[in-house]
Amino acid sequence: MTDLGPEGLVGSIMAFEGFKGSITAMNGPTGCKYYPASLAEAMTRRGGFNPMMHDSRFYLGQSRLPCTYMDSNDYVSGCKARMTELWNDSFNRNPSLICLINSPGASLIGEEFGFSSDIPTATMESPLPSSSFSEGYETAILAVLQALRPDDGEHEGKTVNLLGISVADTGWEDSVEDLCKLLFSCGVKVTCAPGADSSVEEVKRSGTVALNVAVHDERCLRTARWYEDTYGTPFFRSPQGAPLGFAPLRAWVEGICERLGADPSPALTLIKEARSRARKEITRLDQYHGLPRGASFSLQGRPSLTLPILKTLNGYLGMVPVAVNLTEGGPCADAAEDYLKEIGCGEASTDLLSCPADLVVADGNTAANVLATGSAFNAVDIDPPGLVSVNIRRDPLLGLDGTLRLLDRSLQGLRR
Amino acid sequence: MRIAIYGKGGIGKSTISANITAAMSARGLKVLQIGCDPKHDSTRLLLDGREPPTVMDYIRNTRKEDMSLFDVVAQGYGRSMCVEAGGPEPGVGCAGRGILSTFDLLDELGMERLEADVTIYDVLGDVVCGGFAVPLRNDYAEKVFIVTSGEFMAIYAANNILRGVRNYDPLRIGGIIFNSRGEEEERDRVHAFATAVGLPIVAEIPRSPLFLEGERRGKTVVETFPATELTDCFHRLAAMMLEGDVSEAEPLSDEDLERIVLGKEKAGKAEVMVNATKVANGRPRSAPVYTSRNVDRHEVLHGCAFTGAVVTCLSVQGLQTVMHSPDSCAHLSCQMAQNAARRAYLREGISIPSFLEPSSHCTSMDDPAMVFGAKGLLEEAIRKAASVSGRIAVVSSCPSGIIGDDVVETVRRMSAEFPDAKIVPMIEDGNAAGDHMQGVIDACVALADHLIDQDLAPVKGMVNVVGIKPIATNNERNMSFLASILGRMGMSVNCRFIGGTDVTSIEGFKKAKVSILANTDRFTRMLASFLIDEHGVKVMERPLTAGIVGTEAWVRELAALGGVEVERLLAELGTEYRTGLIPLRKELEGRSACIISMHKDIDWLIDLIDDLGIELRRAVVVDRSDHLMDYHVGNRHSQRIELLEDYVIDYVVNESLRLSPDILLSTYPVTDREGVVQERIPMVPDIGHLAPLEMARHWALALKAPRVEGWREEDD
Repeated sequence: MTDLGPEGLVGSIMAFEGFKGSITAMNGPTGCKYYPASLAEAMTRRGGFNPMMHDSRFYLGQSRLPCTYMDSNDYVSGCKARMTELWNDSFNRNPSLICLINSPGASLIGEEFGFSSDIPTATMESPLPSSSFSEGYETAILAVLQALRPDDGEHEGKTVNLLGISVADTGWEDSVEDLCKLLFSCGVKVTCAPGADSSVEEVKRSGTVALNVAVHDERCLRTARWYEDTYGTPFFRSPQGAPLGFAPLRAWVEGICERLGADPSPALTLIKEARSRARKEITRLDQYHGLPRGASFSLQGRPSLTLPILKTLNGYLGMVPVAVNLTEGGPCADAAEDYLKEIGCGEASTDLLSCPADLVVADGNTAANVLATGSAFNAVDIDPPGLVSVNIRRDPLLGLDGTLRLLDRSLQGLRR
Repeated sequence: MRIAIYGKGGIGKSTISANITAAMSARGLKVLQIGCDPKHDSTRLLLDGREPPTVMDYIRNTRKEDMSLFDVVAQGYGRSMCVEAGGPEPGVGCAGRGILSTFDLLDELGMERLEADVTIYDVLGDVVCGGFAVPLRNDYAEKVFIVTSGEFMAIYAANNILRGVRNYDPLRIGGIIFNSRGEEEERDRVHAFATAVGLPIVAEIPRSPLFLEGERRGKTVVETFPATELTDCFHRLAAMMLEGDVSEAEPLSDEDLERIVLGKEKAGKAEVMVNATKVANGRPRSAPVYTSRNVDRHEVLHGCAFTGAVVTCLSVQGLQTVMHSPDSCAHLSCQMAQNAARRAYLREGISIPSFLEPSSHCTSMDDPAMVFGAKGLLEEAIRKAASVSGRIAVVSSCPSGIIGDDVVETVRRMSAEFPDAKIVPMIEDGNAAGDHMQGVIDACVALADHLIDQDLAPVKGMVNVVGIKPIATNNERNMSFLASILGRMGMSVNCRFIGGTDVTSIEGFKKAKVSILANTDRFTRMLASFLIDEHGVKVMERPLTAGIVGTEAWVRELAALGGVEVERLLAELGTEYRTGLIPLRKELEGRSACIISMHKDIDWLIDLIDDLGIELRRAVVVDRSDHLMDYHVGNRHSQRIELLEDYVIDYVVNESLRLSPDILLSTYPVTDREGVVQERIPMVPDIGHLAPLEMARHWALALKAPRVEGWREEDD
C-alpha cells in the first residue's frame, strides 16, 4: 500500500503539541482528530485512548487535541458557537499556550478564530493541504513564535536554540538530552528547542541566543531566517545533516563550537571513545562473518536523517544501499542523491518492498511491512510508530547514544 | 485606511470601486485596490482595460520559493496598485477558498511593504460564505460600504451582507452607496431599506452614458471625464469614505425585508413532497439505506466515512483505491491499515497481503485544487489505478464534497474510457456521509453491488463469512478456528466479506449457499439485511461468537442447513471446553466479579463466569455513541444485566467497586485505584468454544500477582 506518510496537518499539530503546557484545539471533524491525538499521546507519553477515563465533550476518549466534531451541517452553517465553547473549555484549563487549527474541510468555510485573551494563542486557519510534514511543522512553529514574541536583547555568550526537532520524532526527548549533554561538555548551553517540549518561558528567551542550530534543516530554514530578521541571530546547519553517526556528529559539534568560539575537544573525546568501543564489536563481526562489509540495506526517511544514516551505513560500516526513498525535499536531499551517485548507487530503487536487503531502516510501519514480505531480515525504526512501543531505557535517535543505537540495531541481525 | 465595498454581483460595484480609487489617487493618496471576485475585472478600468495576473493563477503556477509580492501587483492609474484574487471557472472549485488563499499569500508576502494609504477591497456580496467574508474580519476592513440598486435582490444581498458584518465588529458600516438604475420608485425602496437598517445613503450614483464610454476606453469616469458632475460625485464620495463616521446596522429579517421594501407580507412555506426517500450513497433513490448508529441517531460522528470506506477498500486484495482528497486524509486512512499490518506482524507473526501491496492512489488536493476544482487530478489518479487493475474504488473526502467536485460524473466518464474496468464511486465526502462505521457499511454495499457475480451457482460445502472487521488483529486467528471447524464438517470458507478478502472472492460470493455472521454488531446486521434483501443471500441466524453455547448453536444451525451430522463434533467441543475448565475452576471458584462493558453482547462472558463458579456481583453495560460496533444486548442473561444509557462513569465505577469484587472486567481500564484487579473485555473477542478460557487463564494469573505492585509506589 502506498502510504504518503505524515504530512502537513500532522506536522502542524505535532509542532503545536511540542510546547510544554499547551493545548491544541481543532476546528474540524473527529476523523481528523483521532490519529494525530493518539500520536501526540503516544509520543509525549500523555495517556492513550480510553473513553472511560477521558470522557469529556471535546476530547472524545483521548487526552489530547479537543475538537469541534464538525459534521455536514457545520460545513454549511459554520461552527462558530461550538468553537467558542471549545475555546472557553481550553481557556479554563489554564494552559501556557493555546494553539488553534482548522481541519482541511473546516478551512474551506473560512471561519475566523478571532479569540483573544491573556493566554497566548497561535492560530493556523489553513492546515496547508497536501503539504509536507516539514512545511506544516515549520508554519506552526512560526505561528507560535509570532504569538509568543520572544524577548529581544543582547545575545548571550555560548547559547543556542536547537531547531527542527519534533515530538513526533522517534526518541525525541532522549535525543535532545543527548545533544544538550554533548554541547554542555563544550560549554555550550541549549536555551530552547521549539517544538520539542520547550516551555513558553524558554521560547521567550530564545531571541537572545548567540546561535540557532539546525538539527533537521528541512524543518527550520524559514524559522532561522525569522530569528535572523527579527533578532539578528546567526544560523548554523551542518552540510552532513542531522547529528547522527560519528562523522556527521563530529562535524555538527565542530561547526557549532567554531561559530561560538567554544572548545569542542571534550565532546570529540566522548565521540572518539564511543567510536573505539564500536570498533571492537565490529571487528569481532568482521572476523567471524566478514560483515558488515557488503551487507545490503534499504532506507526511507526525511533527508536530514537519511543523509547521515546513508553515510554511516555505507562509509563507516561498508554496507551497500539497494533502495533509498527520501520522503521530502530539502538541502540534504540533493546531498544524499549526490552521495548515491558518488558511490555508484545512483540508480538505487526507491521501492523498499520490492528490493530484498539485509537491513531496512525506515518508520516502524514500513519496516514491519518490509519484514512481513520477507524483503529484509532486520530493521531499524527511525520514525514512529516504533517497532517497540515501550522505551524505559533512554533510546535517542540522534547524538552519541543515537549513533550507537543505529550501529547496534543495524548489526544485530546481520548473518551470512 | 482599509475599506471594503460589498454588493451583489453585476450591481456595478467594481466600476464604482475603480472610480473611488481613481478619485482618491487624484488626491495624492497611494491606493491599493484588491478585487475579490472570481471574474477578476475589478481593476480593469484602472489598467486601461488590461487584466493583471490573478493571485490564484500565480499560486497555481509558481513555486513558493520563487514568489514575490510585486509579481501580483499591477501599477494602475494615478499610482494606484491593483491586485485581483481571481478564482475558478463557474461551476467548479471553491471561490471563497480562493479569497482566503489570496489574503494568506498577500500577508505572507508582506503586503504592508506596499505602504498603501488606502486599501479598497471590492468584494462579491452574493455569496456570504466565510471566504468572501475575509475582508470583513477585524484585521482587514475598518469601514464597510454596501453598493445597491433599488432592485429587490440587490437590497436582499445588501441585507445579507449586513448580517455577515454582525459576526465581526458590527460598528464598521460607512453607509449605503445607491447605484441608480434609473427605475421608478427604486429610490423609495433604497431609502426605506436604509432607514429600516439605520444606515445613511452616502452617495447616489446616477445612471449615465459616461460609464459606458469609459468602459469602451478601458478607463474610469474620473480619469476620462474629470470635469463632470459625475466625477465630482466620486470625489465627494471618496472624501466622505475617508472622513465619515461609521454606524452599526440592524439587518432585517426576510419577512421584514419583504414588507418594508416590497410592501407585502411574506408568503408561507411551500408544501414539501411527501414520501421523499433519502439518497443512499451512489445508489438509486429508491434503494434502502443502511446506516450506522451515529448516523441513525444523529449522534456525534466518530471518525469519518471516508476513512471507513478507504480502509475497507484497502483490505480487498486486487482492488485499487483512489482517494480524492488532500494527503492528510490519505495518510490518516492508510496509517490505520498499516498499523493493523504492523500489529499483525509483530504480535501474530503474520502478514496481511492486501495492506502490503501498492494499491492506493491519492489526488493530493492542495489549495489551488480546492479553489479551481480537482477533476483533472481525479482523472489522472483513476488512469493510474486502471493501469494496475480493472477493479477500482473512488472515495471522496470533505474538501471534494465542499467544493462540489462531481465525482460520479468523472467516474462515469472514466468508465467509458476504460470499458473493461469496474470503477465504483463512494461519495462519502469525508464525514458528510457519516462516521467511520457508515463508511465501512457504504463500501461493503457498493463493492457488493458492483462486484458480486449474480449468475454463479452455489457449490456444496461453501460458506461465506459476513461482517469481518478489516483492521481487527484477531481476524486470522478467528478465521483459522473457523476453518478448522468447517473442515471437520466437510465445508470451507468461500468469501470473507470483507476483511482480508480479494476481488475474486467477492465476485464469487454466490458460490456459497449460505452466509454466517461474524458477530452481532450493527455493521454486521446491516450487511445481513442488505445481502438478504438485495442479493437474495441466505444468512444464518446464529453468529460466530465466543463461548461454548454460541459455538454449539451456529454449528448446529449450519449442520442442519448443510445436511451434515455433527453430534460427534459437538461432543468433542464440549469435552474440550469442560476439560479446559477444570484447572481454571480450581483457581477461580468462589471468587467474585463485576462487569462494566461497552459491549452489549456479554452472554458468553456471563456463561464463563457461571461455569467457573465465580460470583457475579454486578453486570453493567454502558451505552456509548463512540462504541461503533453497537452490539445487540444478549438475550439469555438480559435479566442479570443493567443497561445504562444515561450515566456518570465515575459513579458507575464507584458503585461497582463498593461491591468489592475480586476482579473488575471492563472494556477499558476504568480506575487507577490501587489494589483493584482490572481485566479487559476485548473489543473484538476471539471466537470459539475455548476462547473465553484463555481470558480466564489471565484472570487467574492476575489474581496471583501482588495486590499492589511496586511501581505504584513511585510518585508521578
